[in-house]
Amino acid sequence: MSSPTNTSSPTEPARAGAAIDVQQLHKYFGDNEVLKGIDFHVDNGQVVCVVGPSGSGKSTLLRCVTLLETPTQGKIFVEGVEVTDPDVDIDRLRSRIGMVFQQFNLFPHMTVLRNLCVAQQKVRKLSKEQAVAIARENLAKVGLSEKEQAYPAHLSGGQQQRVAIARALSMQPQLMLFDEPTSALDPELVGEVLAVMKELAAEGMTMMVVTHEMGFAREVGDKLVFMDGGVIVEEGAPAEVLSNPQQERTRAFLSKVL
Amino acid sequence: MALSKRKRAQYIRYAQYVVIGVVAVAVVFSANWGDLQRFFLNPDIIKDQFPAVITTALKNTLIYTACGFTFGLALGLVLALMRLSSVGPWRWLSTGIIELFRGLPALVVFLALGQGFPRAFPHLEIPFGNIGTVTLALGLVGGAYMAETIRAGIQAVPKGQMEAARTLGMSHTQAMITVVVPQAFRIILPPLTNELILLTKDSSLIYILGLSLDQYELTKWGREGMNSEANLTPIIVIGFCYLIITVPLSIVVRRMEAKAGKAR
Ligand SMILES: Nc1ncnc2c1ncn2[C@@H]1O[C@H](COP(=O)(O)OP(=O)(O)OP(=O)(O)O)[C@@H](O)[C@H]1O
Ligand SMILES: [Mg+2]
Repeated sequence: MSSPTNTSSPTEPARAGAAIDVQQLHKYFGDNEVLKGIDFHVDNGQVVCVVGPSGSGKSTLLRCVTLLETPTQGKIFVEGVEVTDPDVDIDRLRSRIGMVFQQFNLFPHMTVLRNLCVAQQKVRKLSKEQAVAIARENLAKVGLSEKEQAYPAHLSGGQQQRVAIARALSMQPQLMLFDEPTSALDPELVGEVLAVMKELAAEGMTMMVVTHEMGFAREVGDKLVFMDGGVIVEEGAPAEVLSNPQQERTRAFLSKVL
Repeated sequence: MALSKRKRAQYIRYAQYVVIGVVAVAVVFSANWGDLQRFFLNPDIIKDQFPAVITTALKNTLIYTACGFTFGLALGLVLALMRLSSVGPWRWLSTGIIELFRGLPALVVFLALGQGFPRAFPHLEIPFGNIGTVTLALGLVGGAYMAETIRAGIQAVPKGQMEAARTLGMSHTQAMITVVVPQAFRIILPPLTNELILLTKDSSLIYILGLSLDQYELTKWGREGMNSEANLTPIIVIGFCYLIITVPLSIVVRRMEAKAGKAR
C-alpha cells in the first residue's frame, strides 16, 4: 500500500521488470495540486486497473505517463527509460505506448484502414504494404475486417473504440493505456470492447486501465489501484480490494459503485 | 383577436408580397426603357465585346485571382500557424502582419507595391511584372483575412485529435499536417470560398499598376469600353462576367454548408 507521505527518494533507478514505474509524482494545474506524490508501478505482462471518483486524478496520472501532461515533480520510467528526462525522444517513446481514449479520437477524415496505417508509415516509416498487412491483422483481431473502407462516422461507438484499439495495436506497442474506454458507450456496446481488451490481456499485453467496470477489474486485473484526491489510497489484488477494502474511503466509494 | 399567431404571420407575409409586387410594377412602368436599353444594353456594343471580353478580360481576372488566392492561402496558413506558435516573437510578427494588411484598404497595398516599392528599392524588382505584383498584393490582403479564418478552423478541431496523433508517435508538425489542418480546412471551406469571391472583385485594383491591352481584366476592360463607346453597356457585360464567376462559387458554398449541417 502506498501513502501520500511516501519516503522513497526521487532519485531511485527504475524498478527492474517494471513496464511503468512512477516515483513521487506531483502534478499541479496552476495552484491546484492534482497528483500529490504518486508511487505506482505496472510490471511487464500485468493488467492494472485504476479506479476512483471523478476528479481524483486518474486521467492525469495516465496522461503523465505518455507526457500528454508534463509532470511538475517526480520521475516516470517506461520500460526502464525515463520519460521525464528532458532529453528523451518523446515521439519515439510514445510510438511504443498505445493509448486509448474515452472519446475514441479516430481521425474522421480518414478511412478505418488509413487510421491504422498513417502513423505506421509516418512514424515507423513502414512501406504501405507492410502497414496495411499489420493493420489488417489488427482489424481482424477486433473483429472489424469488413469495415476497413468505412469512415469512423459510419461506425457505432463500440466499433469506433475497437478501431481505436486496433490503431494503437498497429504501432506494435509494448504496453497499452486505456482511459475509461467504455464510458462514452451505450451500455449494450460496452461488452464488445471489454471482450477485445480481455483477449489482449490474455495474450500477455501489459495494460493500465482507468475504468469504472469493476467486473472487468475483478476478472482481468492483476492489481487494482484506488485513487482519491490525488493520492493512491489503496492497492492490491482486485478480488481482495473489492471484497475486503482496508480504507474507509475505499469502502465509501465501492459502496456507491457496486 | 381570433387570429392565431400562425395565421397572423401568414397575412403579414401576404402583405409583404403585395408591397413588393406594387413596387416592382411601379419601377417597370416608370422606367424609360428606350434610353435604358440604348445606354445599358446596346446589342451592337454587346456583340463587339465578344469574344475578347472572355478570352482576355475574364481570363485575366481568373488568373490574377487564382494567383493571389493561392499565395494568400499559403501565407494565411503560415500566419495562422505562427499565431498559434508557443514562440512569442512568431506570434507577435504574425499578429502585426495580419493587423496591418487587414486594416489597410486593398488599394493602398496595391499602391505601396506598385508605386512605393520601385521607388524605395530601385535596384530590386518584383518578379513576373504585374502578375507578380498582383499576386503579392492580393495574397497579402487575402492572406491576412484567411489567417484568422484558418486559425479559428485549427482551433475548432477537437484537442483529442492532436493528442491521438501525438500518442501514435507523430511529431507536432506531422500531426498538424496529416490530422489537424485537413480537418480545419473542411470546417473553413465556406468562409475561404467567400474570401475567394472578395478577391475576385479586389483583383480589379490591378488597374493602378498600369496595364497593357492584353493585361486588361474585367473592370479595366469595362471602363475603357465605356469611355470609348460613351455607353454603359460594356460595364453591364463585365458585371455579368463577374456574376458568372461568383454565383457558382456562392452555390458551392451553400451546398457545402448544407452538407456540413447534415453531417452534424
Ligand atoms: N488541463 C487541465 N487544467 C486544469 N485543471 C485540470 C486539467 N486537467 C484536469 N484538471 C483537474 O485535475 C483534477 C483531476 O482531473 P482528472 O481528469 O485527472 O480526474 P479523473 O480522475 O480522471 O476524473 P474523471 O473520472 O471525471 O475522468 C480535476 O479537478 C480537474 O479539474
Ligand atoms: Mg478521467
